[in-house]
Order: sequence, then C-alpha cells, then structure tokens
Amino acid sequence: MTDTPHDDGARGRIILIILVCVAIYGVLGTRLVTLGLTPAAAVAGPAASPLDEIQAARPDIIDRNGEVLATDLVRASLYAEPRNILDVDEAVEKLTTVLPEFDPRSLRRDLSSDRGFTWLKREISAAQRERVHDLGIPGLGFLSETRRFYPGGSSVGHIVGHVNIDNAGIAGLEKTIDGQGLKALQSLGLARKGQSMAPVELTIDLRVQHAVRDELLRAKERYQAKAAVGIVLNAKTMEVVAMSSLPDYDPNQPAQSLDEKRMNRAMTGVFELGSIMKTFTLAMALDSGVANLNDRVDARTPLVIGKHKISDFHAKNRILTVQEVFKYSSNIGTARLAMLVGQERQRAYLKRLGMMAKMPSELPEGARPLVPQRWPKITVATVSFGHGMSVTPMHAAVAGAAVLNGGTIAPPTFYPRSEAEMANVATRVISPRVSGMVRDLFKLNAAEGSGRRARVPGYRVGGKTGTAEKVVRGVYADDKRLNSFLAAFPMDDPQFVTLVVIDEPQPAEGEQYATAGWNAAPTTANIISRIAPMLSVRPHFDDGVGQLADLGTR
Amino acid sequence: MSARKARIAVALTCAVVAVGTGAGVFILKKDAERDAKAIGELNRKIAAERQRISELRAEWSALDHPVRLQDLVERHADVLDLAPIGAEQIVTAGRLVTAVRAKREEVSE
Repeated sequence: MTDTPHDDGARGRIILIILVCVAIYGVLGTRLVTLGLTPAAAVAGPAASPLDEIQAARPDIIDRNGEVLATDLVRASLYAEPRNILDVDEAVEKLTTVLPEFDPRSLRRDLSSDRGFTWLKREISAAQRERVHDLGIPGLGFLSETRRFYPGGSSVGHIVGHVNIDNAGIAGLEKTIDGQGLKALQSLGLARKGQSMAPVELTIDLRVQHAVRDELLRAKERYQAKAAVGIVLNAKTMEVVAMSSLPDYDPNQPAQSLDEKRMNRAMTGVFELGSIMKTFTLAMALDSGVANLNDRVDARTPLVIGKHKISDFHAKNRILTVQEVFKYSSNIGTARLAMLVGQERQRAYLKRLGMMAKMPSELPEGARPLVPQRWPKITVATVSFGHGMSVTPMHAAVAGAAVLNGGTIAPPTFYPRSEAEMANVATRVISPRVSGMVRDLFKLNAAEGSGRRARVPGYRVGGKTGTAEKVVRGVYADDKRLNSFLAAFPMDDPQFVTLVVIDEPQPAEGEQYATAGWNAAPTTANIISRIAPMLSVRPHFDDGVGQLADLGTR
Repeated sequence: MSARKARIAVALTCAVVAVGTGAGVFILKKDAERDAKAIGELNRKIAAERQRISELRAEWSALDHPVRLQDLVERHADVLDLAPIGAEQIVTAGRLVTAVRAKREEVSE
C-alpha cells in the first residue's frame, strides 16, 4: 500500500465528519442534561390559568387591632371547552356528583356541542373549585376574578374609600395606596394574586369608630339633625383613631358615594365653627403675652367696629376676667383679646395651627379652608370667635389637639406613628406653659361652664362648646345652627381629643334649647364613656371612694 | 487481529456509556418533571389555601363587626343581660385588694 494524495484527502474528510458528528451529539447531550437539571420551579402547575397571573392584587387594609377593613376576594367561574372533552358521559357523571345543581341533560347537551368555549357556572366557591379540579376532567377550566370586599362596611367607608371596576383605588386610602407605588408594582407584575402582600395597617380602631358612629347616629336621630361629624385623635401623636361623618356610604356599594349628602364632612366640608375657635384666640392671646388668665376684659357693652356690632349670647354686661371670657363664651371679650393680639400675629398663629391651608393627611380628599381675602379689624374680631372663616372639622380637631397636648402640631395621620416619630415631624405652636393654661380653661368650662353635660365620671373630660349660626342667603339665620364640641380626656394630660359637630340640630324631646351644650356636649359624653375603656384610659376618681363603695355593693 | 479486538472493545464501551448516560438523563428528566409537577401542585394548593385564609379572615371580620355584635346583644338582651362597662368598674389591683379586705372585715363583724 502506498500513500497517495487521494487517500490523504479521504482521511481528512472522514475525520472532519467524525468531528462534526461528535460536536452535534455533544451539543444535544449537554442540552439534554441541562434540561434535565433545570430547577423544577420554572414549570408552573397545570391548573394555573394564565389569567390567574395577570389579575392584579391589592393589599388588605386592617385596623390597629388587625380587623380586616378591606380585602380581595377571588371568585372562580367554571368554563368548559367542549371540543377538548374526550368522554362527555364521564364528565357529566363526575360533574353532577360535585355540583348537584347541574341538570344532567342540559349539561350533556352543552358538553357535546362543538363549541370552543362555554360558561358552566359563574362564581363558584373555593371548595367547589377544589373538588371540580380534583375530578381531573380535561377540557374544564376556571377563570377567576378579584373583587374588593369591605367587611367594615359603612363604618369606615370614608376612610378606606373604594375601588373602581378595574380594582384601582379611586377614593380614600385605596387611592392613596395606589399612589404609593402599588400601581408600579402591578404593572411590573410583582403584585399578583396568590402572593402575599403586607397588609396596610391603619390607626383606626374599628370598635372606637363604631362607637363614635353609633352615638352620632343616635344624636342625629334624637336632634333631627341634617348631618353629624365625629373625630377622635390621639392628642400626643395626631393619629386618627376614629373619624365618622354621617350620612356615610357603604364602600361595597360605591355608587352611594356619588350622593353629595354622603360626602366626608370631616375633611371635605368647611364650616364656620363658632365658639370653639375661641380656644385658639385665647391660646394666642396668652402665648403672645398680651393677656394673663386673671386680666380683666371689658364686656359691659357690645363692641362696635365700623357699622358692625358684636354682642354676647349669654351677656353678662360686666368686666370679665380672661377665664370668664372663656367660661361664658363672650364674643366681646374674645374680640377684644384678638385685637390686642393684632391682625398680623393672629394670622401667623392661625397659619401655624394649620388653618390657612388644606390639612395634609394620607386621605386624598381634603378641602381648603375659606379664608377672608382682606383682613380688616372686623375680620380680626369675627375670626376670633369663629365667624367669617370656614375650616374643616379636622382642622379644628388637629389645632385643638395641638393647643392641649403641650403645644406641638403635626399633620393628622391614618398610619401608625409613635411619639418619637411625632417629635420629629411636630412643630411648636404655643409654649407648654400656655398649653397647660388652656387645659385649665377646658377643665373649668366642663366643671362650671357650657361643657357641664360632657362630663363623664372618672374620665375628667374638658371641653369647649361652639354654637354657630349658619349663613342662609347671606345673613345669619338664628334657627339654623351648627353645633360643635371640642373635648379632651383625661384633662390633666390629654391622651385623646374628640370633636363632635352636629349640623342643624333641633331641641330634643322635652328640652327647650338646641345650643351645643345641649346636644354636642352630651353626645361627646356618651362617646367618651364608651370609648375610654377601649382606649385603655385609666379612670380616676378624685375622692377615691366612689369605686370602693360601689364594689362593696356588688 | 488485536487491533480489531481493541476497536470492538472501544466501540462497545462507547455504546454502553452512551446508552448509560442516555438512560441516566432520561430518568433524571422524568424525576425533574415529576417534581416540577408536584411543586406546581403544591404552589397551587398554597395559593388556594391562602385565598381560603383571607376569605375566612374577611368572614371573621364581617362576623366580628361591632355593628353586628351590638345588634345581637340588643336582640338577646333578656338572656345575655350585658351592659357597657362603667368607669367605676375599672380599678387597680391594689384598690381591689383593699376593697376585698374591707368586705371581708365587714362580713366577719
């Protein structure tokens, strides 16, 4: 045998072919091994329909005790693809054992057809879904839809808000949650059904919320009022513990929210709140140093400014001390004090108390106060006792908490906030010393003044009434009133501040008066006696024997 | 001759190795498939269970709602005889001890 060039060529080609074959099989082999070794998680279970994956989910909303206020409910619907059903008889037989409400004949007809898709049953329960799934019939499947459900119902409607048909929040905290990046998560596909999302915890206490709402409902009926608002704030952290505005709406029936009467008056209604604003005038007079508690103010004759005359409702027609101005709710005295404070400082104080701008909070809803454009002397006087300027009840409650808690203010919040966090965001409005004086004034007013009917044994409630005449067609009507009561408890170191506003109350049966001391104050007392034990406020009796004597008889 | 034997031996070894790895990979793949199915099934069950839990929690919240409870208490007032707690019913442990002691003395007298 001799080596020829011809042979060389053949050998080269053979080697080339072998190499190519080895390479190809090598690639196939490696691919096979890698496929075999891929983590199994990549393969989804056979039952998960693609629609399960794209449905956006929302986090639950819970109250401070973990009660669910809003949650996603999944409703599965059963469909069939008759074309893909292999054994119709078997399918019918098995299905009717699980869902006995099916009529076998019509079911057989449905499944024997040549259609590609047909609904068998809409909205089946999770248990039924599981059982149908376990039958393992090919050609059956589920489509599921998420529906938002609000177990809290009307009680918390204004706070949690509601979602639209696409499950996007359009009111209340639902809208806020969307704004906080949930939408981005959903569009990235990170917020999906079946994945647990951390629930959103609120400061609301459902029990307190209900107690407030229940008492407001009774008050509204008893005094035949048009509307009622109740707010409970944690005085130290400005957390909103309860906020109710009647009439309210059920977020499970969002169409109700379109009714203008059902709007959230606590944050979107602005009112001339009347005498409770005297609290702030006195606080600024004391804080700016123009007056002391025992200074005398002339309230002998009505105060005349230009063509306007300011007079008192419970006119004493004598010289009053600053304490008495508060106790007798003297318009003349308050106006005189405000004029001593002066226009500029009055506006600066009101601004620091948050009354000149929309009250910032997590709720998207919120009204701007109606602040007079010009601020002449008469405005200084009227604003001092709560007329000529309209704010939301939330404004008044927050400002009230600020002047009573030691003098610091922060925006109200629906998300938990500790006292340390409060210290970081709070700003000072008045000095702690003056705040103590305001507390004394509140105590005095509940002991001897217009707030007597707000007293609750053991809880040292202090408060200020406000009876404002409403403006009807440009003039103040003396039969249409807006009554309010700003209170705090326990008074020596207020932990909670409450504000009750009752719109156009009538005298209750057997009573003659319809001023705030007769309706807003007793309503506040009812609320506090119910909520104080829930809020773990320890009762305290000055004599110390009330409890013991009572225990002895039990 | 020995060269041929060697070649046959090499071919046989190759064949055995090929069949062996093939079978190995096949079994591995089947195992992986089975596991994947099991995991998918478990995931589905977990999701269903979670859904069930959140449904139950929602139901509990609806049942535990103060509006419903108050309604029930009012309706069955004659049997339950419940009243709201009053401030005078809340005492510190110290005071309770004093009260109990006083009561005991009263009884013994």
